[in-house]
Amino acid sequence: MNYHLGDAFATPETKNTKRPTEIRSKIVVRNVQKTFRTKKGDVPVLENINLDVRDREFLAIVGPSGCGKSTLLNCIACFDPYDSGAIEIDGELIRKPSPKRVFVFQEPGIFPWYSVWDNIGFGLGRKMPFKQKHEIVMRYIELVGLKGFEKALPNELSGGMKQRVEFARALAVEPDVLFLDEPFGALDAFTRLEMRREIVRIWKATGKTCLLVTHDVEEACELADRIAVMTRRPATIKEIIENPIPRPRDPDLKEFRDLKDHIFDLLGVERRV
Amino acid sequence: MSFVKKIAGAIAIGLLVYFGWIIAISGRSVENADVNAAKGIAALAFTWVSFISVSTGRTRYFSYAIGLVGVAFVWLSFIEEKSILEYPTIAASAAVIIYLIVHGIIFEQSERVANIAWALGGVATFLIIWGSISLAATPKGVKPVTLAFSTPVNDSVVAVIIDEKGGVVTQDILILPPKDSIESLPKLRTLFGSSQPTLTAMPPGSPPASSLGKLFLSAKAEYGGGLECFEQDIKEKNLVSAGEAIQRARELQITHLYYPRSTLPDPTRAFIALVDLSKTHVSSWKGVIDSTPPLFTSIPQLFKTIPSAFPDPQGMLAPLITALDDFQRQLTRFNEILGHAFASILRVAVGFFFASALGIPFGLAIGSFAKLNATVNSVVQALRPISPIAWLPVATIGLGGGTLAAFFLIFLSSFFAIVISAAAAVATLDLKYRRSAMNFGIRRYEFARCVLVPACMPSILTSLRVAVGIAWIVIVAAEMLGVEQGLGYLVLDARNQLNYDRVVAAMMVIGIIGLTIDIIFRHFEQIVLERRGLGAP
Ligand SMILES: Nc1ncnc2c1ncn2[C@@H]1O[C@H](COP(=O)(O)OP(=O)(O)OP(=O)(O)O)[C@@H](O)[C@H]1O
Ligand SMILES: [Mg+2]
Repeated sequence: MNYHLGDAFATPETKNTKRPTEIRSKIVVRNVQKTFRTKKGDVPVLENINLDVRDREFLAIVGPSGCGKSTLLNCIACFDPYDSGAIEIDGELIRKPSPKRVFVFQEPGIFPWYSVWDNIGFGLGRKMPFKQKHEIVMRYIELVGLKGFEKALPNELSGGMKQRVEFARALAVEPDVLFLDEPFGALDAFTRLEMRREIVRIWKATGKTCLLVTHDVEEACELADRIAVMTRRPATIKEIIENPIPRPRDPDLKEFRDLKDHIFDLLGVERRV
Repeated sequence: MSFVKKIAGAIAIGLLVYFGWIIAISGRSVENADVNAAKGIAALAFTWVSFISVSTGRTRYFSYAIGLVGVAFVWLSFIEEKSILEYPTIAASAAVIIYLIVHGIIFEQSERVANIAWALGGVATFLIIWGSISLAATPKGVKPVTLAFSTPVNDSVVAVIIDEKGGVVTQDILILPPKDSIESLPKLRTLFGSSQPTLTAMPPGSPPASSLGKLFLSAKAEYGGGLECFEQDIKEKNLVSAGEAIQRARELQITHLYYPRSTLPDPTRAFIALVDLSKTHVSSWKGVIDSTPPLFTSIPQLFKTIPSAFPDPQGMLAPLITALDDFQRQLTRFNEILGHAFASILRVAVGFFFASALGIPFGLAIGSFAKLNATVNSVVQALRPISPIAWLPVATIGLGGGTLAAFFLIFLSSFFAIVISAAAAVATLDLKYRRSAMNFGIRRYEFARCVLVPACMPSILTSLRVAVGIAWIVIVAAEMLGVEQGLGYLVLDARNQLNYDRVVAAMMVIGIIGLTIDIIFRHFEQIVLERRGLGAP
């Protein structure tokens, strides 16, 4: 992949901002710009994005549909190139996807031709001895509550179970960072609720850095430590809000509703129908 | 019980198709051509409406009402038509009613039977339409009858006109012509009357050069192409009397006469030809066994020839092909249809095996590497639309025809279809699979094995099924040149012998094997996809 890092990375400001972030920041996004060039003309999507994600933090990115949330996450995960700016993880410029940072897709990206066991073991590589692999796989199967389904193929599982397999597959390689692009978008309301609880539990148990993209403000408020609000396309980060509410969070609390209202205000959306 | 029901249903449907076919060929009755055509169309409409009402299973009572109409139809045709030729129509209508009752009452619930009924109803309809059209297109006024002569006695013969059922229409004694004049021709003309013979049976001892032959030739000159001369070998020629000439003519009519020549074949006779083809000549079983070993001993020989840097395919495969051809020849002698079918299947199997063994990796590679795609794609796209039949001369000249050419044509017929759909499958590979693999740091080879191939499996399997279907179509054409076994050869050979029934018998075998191959591939596809978690839930 060919990145045009452009001027931003070389300018003195970049160097200045780099220093302090090294202390606690896991992921640093600096002045990232991206434009899709299509036959019908250029579509500027990301315009000067700046974002710091702390280590072991759960950060949510919310924004209107089509504003470029997925695009940003794809750039951070190194699936898409960006035009200018810089993205660093652990103080290093990212160059290619790595098992240290795993992406959880909106629609489960697990392989339908592999059993639950094989899917979860997929990221562990073929060279790992069977016994060790089995141990790891079983541990994560248990973690996501799929014991007894090791041999099942994905088409025998429900949507929520598939999503859990995807989580287990991502977690099994012990990544530092999880990228979650609307991981619950395809699920029904009940399963979504359950999966949210699940992800918080897993996140607490494993201490990963989580970067969640969603357009569900309530979801963001329930899950995240901080919430980054994006503007419409071409997008920038409008504001990053701290979420002080202690877990477990109750959406009916006043604080919670105030937080939601504040985000809706930032997004410029009238939430009463 | 359900098994019995299925059998009964199959028989009922089979009868329907059979009699549908019979209706279609009943256009041989030229006098009643228009009536028959009308009846064919009526039967068609009746059959079709019944199918719709019964197969959908919703309009049960409506279908019974239609059944009553059918009974009336049968009854009417029974009292109206004196001609025996009308019986097939009656029988067909009766079959429809049997079908209606059996299907309407017993099978209303079975979707599969209903589907089969739909399909076969379609076939019956097609046959009826075809029959009606060809009937309308048949030139009128030619009555298929046979002229039989007795052995000349005292410069005179008995000439007899036999109708299509073998009955004697009329007979007369003809004076054989002296050297130059033909006095009996007017008499012969009256004998023909309105019934123009299409075929003439002549007993031996009276070749066209004889005086009887002259009479025949003058008649032929007068009646044009309607007359044909068949010479028959009869050992004791003195015994041939008028009665025996008639007998001989009847036999000839059975073997050579295809009345409605321009229309469909007679299913009964095609079945008889099929049974004839399936007869086993156990005596040559030994030959089959004897010729089998070369097939296997030739394989090591084959490998011996490979090491040369650029193997000449003809030289390389020659021992194998010789052995195969020999084996097939013996098998054909043992059981004709089995031998031909086996030869065709083997050729398709070999050609198809090479096509898929090379085509799948090649297609996957084209899909995976953009540069390769840019280079090769236009070539593939240019070669693909060239029908394998167009390659036939190339195969004949370049590969000397025969089995190798057939392999080559089969290979060509399936190769491009497989390559293109494998390449397309890679191109449409879901981005999230690609990204997942990338994310977990999967290497190229492993990516191909663990992600690419399984993900492309459904479309590859479908393309294999389509390709083998094409191959089975092409094999018939490929076997029309330079081979001595195979169903294509059988069709051509039967055609050359003017043996229409055999042609149809071969067609039936080709169809049945094609259907079987499709069913096998479909099942295979389903099993593989299910095991890979890609089957329909
Ligand atoms: N491959 C592409 N080519 C051209 N334009 C693209 C491409 N991918 C995305 N876009 C454009 O970029 C914009 C942002 O897309 P993106 O998928 O990041 O939105 P999103 O914020 O994730 O939206 P959603 O919440 O609906 O998922 C969209 O307006 C889309 O039109
Ligand atoms: Mg998105």
